[in-house]
Amino acid sequence: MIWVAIGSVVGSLVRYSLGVLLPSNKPGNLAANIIGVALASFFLVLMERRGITKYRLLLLPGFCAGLTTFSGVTYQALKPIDFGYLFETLIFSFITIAIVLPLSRKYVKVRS
Amino acid sequence: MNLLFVALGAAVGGPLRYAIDQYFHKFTSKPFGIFVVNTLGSFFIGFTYVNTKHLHDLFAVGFAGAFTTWSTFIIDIYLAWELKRYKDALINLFGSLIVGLLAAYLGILLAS
Repeated sequence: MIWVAIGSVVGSLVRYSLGVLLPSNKPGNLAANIIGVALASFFLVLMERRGITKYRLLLLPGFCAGLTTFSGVTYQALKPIDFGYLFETLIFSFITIAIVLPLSRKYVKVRS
Repeated sequence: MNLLFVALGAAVGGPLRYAIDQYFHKFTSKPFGIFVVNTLGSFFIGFTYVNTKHLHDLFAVGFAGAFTTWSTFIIDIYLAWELKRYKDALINLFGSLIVGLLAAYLGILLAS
């Protein structure tokens, strides 16, 4: 559980920093969610292929899940009502996973 | 100082998400745990968003941000689609978004 907590704290601080660096929380959360989907897709394949279980809790339910946010998207889509933001986040997320997951499967080889 | 509030919220939100998700995994392989945390987190962010800057960082950015996850949500849908479990993928996609938006809306209504 401690590894999930550490990963979540670091992921959330990166998300917060993106919101500070970019003009507002909206693009900050969008960037955090896209980066998080890309990293989680890659880590998933890497850990499955290499049998790495040691860092799983820290990186997946910890860092990647802490970096990304569902509540940030639903809230931003409502106040003020902006369903375009929701669709934008969804479309970019699915494009990202559709690219990163197959590429990771192609290039990350099973360790013999 | 703001980073400290974000970190504190995330240190609670991340492990709590993981514990709830693990609990649901005892009963089902379907992503009900993630659905529950994303719904509760959306309600919570709506309910607590109008706050002072420190409380906003603690509750909205830290706790609700880390408690909910976008990366796991997207990966679950994508993997279900790949396995040709189209109904599961579509129910998760539309069910989570509709219920999440309603939960955030309810939180905003109750808070205002």
